[in-house]
Amino acid sequence: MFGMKMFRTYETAMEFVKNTYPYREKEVYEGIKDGKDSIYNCNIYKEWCYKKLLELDFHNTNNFEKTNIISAGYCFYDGPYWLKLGIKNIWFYELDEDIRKINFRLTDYIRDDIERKGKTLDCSIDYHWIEKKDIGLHINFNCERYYHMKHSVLKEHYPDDCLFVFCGSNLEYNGPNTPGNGHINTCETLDDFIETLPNMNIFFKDTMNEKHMVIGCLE
Amino acid sequence: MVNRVIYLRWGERYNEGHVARLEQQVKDNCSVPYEFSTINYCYAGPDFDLMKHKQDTHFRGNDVEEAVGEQNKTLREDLGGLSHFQKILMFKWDRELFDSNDKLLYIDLDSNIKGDLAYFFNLDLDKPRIAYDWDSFNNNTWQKLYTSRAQPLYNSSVMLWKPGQCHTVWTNVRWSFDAAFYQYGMLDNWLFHRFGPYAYNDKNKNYFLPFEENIVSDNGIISTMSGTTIEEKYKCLV
Repeated sequence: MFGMKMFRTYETAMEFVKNTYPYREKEVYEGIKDGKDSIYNCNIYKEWCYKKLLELDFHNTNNFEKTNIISAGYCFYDGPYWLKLGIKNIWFYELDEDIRKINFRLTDYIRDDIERKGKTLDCSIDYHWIEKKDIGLHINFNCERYYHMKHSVLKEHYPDDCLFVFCGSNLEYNGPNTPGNGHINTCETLDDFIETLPNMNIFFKDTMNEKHMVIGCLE
Repeated sequence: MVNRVIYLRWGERYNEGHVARLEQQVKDNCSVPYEFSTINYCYAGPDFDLMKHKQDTHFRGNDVEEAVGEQNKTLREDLGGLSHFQKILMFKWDRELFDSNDKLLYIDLDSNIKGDLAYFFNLDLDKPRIAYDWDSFNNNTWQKLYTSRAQPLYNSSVMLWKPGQCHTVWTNVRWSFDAAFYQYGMLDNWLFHRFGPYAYNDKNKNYFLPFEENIVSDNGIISTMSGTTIEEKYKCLV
């Protein structure tokens, strides 16, 4: 049943992309085909994040009903994980308005289960406009595209029990249209990456390939 | 009401000769009365000092004024430093220095003027105006590179506005100095993200109107050297 919904969502989303953002068609298709798009290339890392959150069982101890996701890339495959995590309201934040609007189409198959909203903004400069009230889970998949998160993610703004996931990388520029394009804040090591984050009580930290991930609460 | 042609000169790259070159071009190509001047607060004073300090703090390359290419094996756009930030200070000081009905036309020193500048002073100024990368607009490359902060449609080499009209540009950068100087290599990319079609604040969306296609272009009234290396610029400035 869910598979059929996803199939229909794929068809209508691709039609929408083709008609509205034709210059994105190849990129979205590639993102769905093998999880690698030229902008974020992050499906395997998103899966790593979601699986780790489930494995750590935080969704049974914390309330993830309201969740922020920053720079999620194309989210066609994310819906089932969001449902498992108990997410009911999700806020997308993107610098790029096209991606945000395409994501609404790509996640249409979960519209009856999860309310989706979004804002086109820079999470580092416009951080005052990121939702804070009752947020249980805050994920930034691409910290390497922004100034240090410790300057914009402040403990006093978020609920005490909010769980944070920060992903960054040491993936550097390797020619035009490669995933390292626009990576202004790469970190060689996991410890270097943690230095850029707010003070945290860290529950999990690791590096997969060139991607770092830290999960914890703000201290 | 005065038509003003504004130039800025900072650093060591351009000298008095380059100012005289632009002044002569303006004299030869403007059929309406005008005054040619600069704004000294853009390269001196506490605001400049603070911004320069932020630039020095956050720039991660070796030549902050070079606008294209790579430094330290990294694209210039990714190295921060908000190159050409001095232009923002025009928007802070214009109200104090000029009459509110004046029209201010900023032109980069390395521009070439080929047609009558009266065109600009005859435009209505309900909104400020800026040169546009029409090629990028027409072939959609700006969208593909939007998140990498590398392909702005805005080209601040030529801007037209009235005093006070762009004060919000100054206030916008003022409350986010560190993030702006860290994240943006070039003023034009910052300006495009904060005041272009995807700006978060609705009031800032499409804040600048573009000059019509071909007005600021190789065969237009003004041709700019935006997007070229300093060596290429020098060749054309002889």
